[in-house]
Amino acid sequence: MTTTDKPAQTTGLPSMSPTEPGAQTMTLSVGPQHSGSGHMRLIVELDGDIIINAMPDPGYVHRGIEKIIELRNIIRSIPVIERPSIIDASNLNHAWVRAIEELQGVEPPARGQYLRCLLNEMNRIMSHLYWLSIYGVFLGHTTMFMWPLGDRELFIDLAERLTGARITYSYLVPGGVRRDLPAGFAEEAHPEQKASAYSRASGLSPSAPQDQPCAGLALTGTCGRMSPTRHMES
Amino acid sequence: MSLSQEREESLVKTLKENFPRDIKEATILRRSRIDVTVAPDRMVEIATFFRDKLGFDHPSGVSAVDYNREARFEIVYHLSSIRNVGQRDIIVNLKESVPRNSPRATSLVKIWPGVENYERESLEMFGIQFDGHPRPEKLFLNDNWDGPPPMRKEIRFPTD
Repeated sequence: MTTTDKPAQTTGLPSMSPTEPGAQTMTLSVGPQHSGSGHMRLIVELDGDIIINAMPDPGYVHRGIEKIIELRNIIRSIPVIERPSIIDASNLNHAWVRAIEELQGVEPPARGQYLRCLLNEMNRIMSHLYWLSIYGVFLGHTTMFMWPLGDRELFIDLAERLTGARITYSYLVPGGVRRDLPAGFAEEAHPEQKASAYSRASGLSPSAPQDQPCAGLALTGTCGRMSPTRHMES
Repeated sequence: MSLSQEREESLVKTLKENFPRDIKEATILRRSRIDVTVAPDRMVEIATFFRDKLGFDHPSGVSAVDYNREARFEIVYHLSSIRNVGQRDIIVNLKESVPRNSPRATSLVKIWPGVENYERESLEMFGIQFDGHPRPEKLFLNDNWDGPPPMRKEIRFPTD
């Protein structure tokens, strides 16, 4: 099926053999372990400091999700679909569920669409907070790792109340969502109680104005202007 | 942004004017989503037209679909635009069909270098040969994989 025996010269790409003496360029492996997330090797051809070619070697990371769900019925495909990106599970699931609905000619009711939007938006913010915190780890900044993850925990709690799961929800199903808004959710989602509890726990509000309900949370300032107050007010 | 589909309609019109016989089908799915099916032997010209005249400089993905009951593979290039700000939200699905018993298409690496690894994936997963591809080798599969292309519909792996 493939033509692995092709000589490197005809493809114009470097071979993977060690650099020969007298060669103009040097072949270097970057990875598979490196400071970035996940395993990935780049075979880089260098001419001095200049990269003239780079070949990716992603490793055995293909999960064959399409093939796995070919053999399942639709409702059982939903937990699988979320797996490639668990930090943004519901948005991934949304595309899949919408595709099924389009094939079936089904439109979910307005309440279901609102609930999807609610979880998707919370999940999106969680995802941003996650990369920001992992980015902090890469920079070797432990505090920057902790603060966004602390903020993310607020949304994880809300998602748990809404769906019963913290990270992979399987909440969106063809035709709507898996269950309705639980009683008392709106009160819990109200930012004032959350934020005041958070700022008490973190002890972060000495200089913040006390009349602002979310002062402690806004002070962490981890994601641009995002804070529960601003997000939920609009 | 308005909900009108003027941009999509003018894109389809331009395409049909320039390639009256080679565009088999051009459908506006909804706002900012267009399906274009073309004849495989004219793919390179039409792709070049997309890049140079319509400003679609960014292929955001290439996938293959196995229509085994119709004995064909469909190769889908998802095109979008970075330079042309006015159509950044538009995604064109540029499609061609190749027969399932001899799946062979022309590689578009010369037009968009970014499709190189996507085409490699279609090669190993569906067995579609891309003529002119600079590196037609495995990407994700084990080096010692000697089975059939695993994403084809007739292949079954036991799951549970």
